Amino acid sequence: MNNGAKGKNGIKVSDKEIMELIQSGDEKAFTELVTRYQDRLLNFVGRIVTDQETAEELIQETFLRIFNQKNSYAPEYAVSTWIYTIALNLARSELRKRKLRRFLSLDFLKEESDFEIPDKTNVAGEGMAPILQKAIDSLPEDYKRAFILCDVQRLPYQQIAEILRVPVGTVKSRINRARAMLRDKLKPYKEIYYELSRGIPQIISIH
Amino acid sequence: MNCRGVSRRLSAFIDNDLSPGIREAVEEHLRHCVPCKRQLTEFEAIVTAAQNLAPLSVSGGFCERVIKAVNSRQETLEVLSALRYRLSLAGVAFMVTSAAIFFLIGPPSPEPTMNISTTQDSYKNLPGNTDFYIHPETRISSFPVPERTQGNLLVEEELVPADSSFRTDEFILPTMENVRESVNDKF
Repeated sequence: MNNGAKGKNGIKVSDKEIMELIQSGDEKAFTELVTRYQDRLLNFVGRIVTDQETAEELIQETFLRIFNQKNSYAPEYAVSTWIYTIALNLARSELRKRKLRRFLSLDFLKEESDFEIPDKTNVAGEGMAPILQKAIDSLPEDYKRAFILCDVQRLPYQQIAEILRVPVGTVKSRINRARAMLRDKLKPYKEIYYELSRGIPQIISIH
Repeated sequence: MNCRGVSRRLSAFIDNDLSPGIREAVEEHLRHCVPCKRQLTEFEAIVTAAQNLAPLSVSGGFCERVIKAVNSRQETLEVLSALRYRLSLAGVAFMVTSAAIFFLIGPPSPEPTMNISTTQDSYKNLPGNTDFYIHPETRISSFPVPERTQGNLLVEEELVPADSSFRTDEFILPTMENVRESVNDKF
């Protein structure tokens, strides 16, 4: 991934070098790490918790933990794997809290709002992207994480396996299943997501 | 390779994560199987659509907020660390002082305990019979006597010999007749 961003002198500094600088107390290196990862983490955490404000809070907490536990980083793993793992743990914790709140407020008695097929006429106005995002949101959590890491974050299978702490075979199976589920959910919009796949940019926002 | 095998490997095929032999087998199947070819096209469209989703961006000033939060957390940790250091010092000082007082003054002397023997045991110390008895020199008048019965009792100053008939487990209070019978038997 973006392990070769340029430093202040135009020299490419890898993530591991940045971590070494942070460990030695370089505050500017930490700022560089935040700048490098803030949007990537938002595109991961934001699509899991589907709420930008909460996602930003979780990402801020991720960076706080990175700073406080900078000496516990093991160089044999990629920095991005370590960062994604911390962010994922926080996102999981947030989802557990939501589940508990939902249980305590007895909202679970209401019917789960699964992916609903919107009217095709609205799709033309709003674009396909919100529908695709909604379809991704409706995936089971394990499949959703694997799909986002693979198709949105574009991480390799091996790294996804390390982040999710499952075997590579399980990752492959989850991604294949997630794509098949999305295909089934989006069947009525086949022509439109074909359009989307041809590279027409779609604006999407999470609530 | 059959359709099921291909369907299972379609994602790995798209992501270029198959060994050359298996990839070739999948390609061979896709050349003549229309449903699998259609599924591949749909998968590719989903993947491309997901990759074309406009990326989300953090709100303005996010990086500054993170740096500020880190600095604030660091200050809090430093204060807590200093407080913990002081508290541990105070704890050590308290323990040392307590130990010094203990060794200087010594351990507190044990409370005097009252050795209460049972009534049964105290009877054993009495001379003569181990059972409860009235001592020969005990005056009858020493028994607590209600006033209204006093007239029936023995005259004062008269000695009463020790006898089993006077055991308190049989009589609470000797009557006049008991005493008289006892005296007649003896004399």
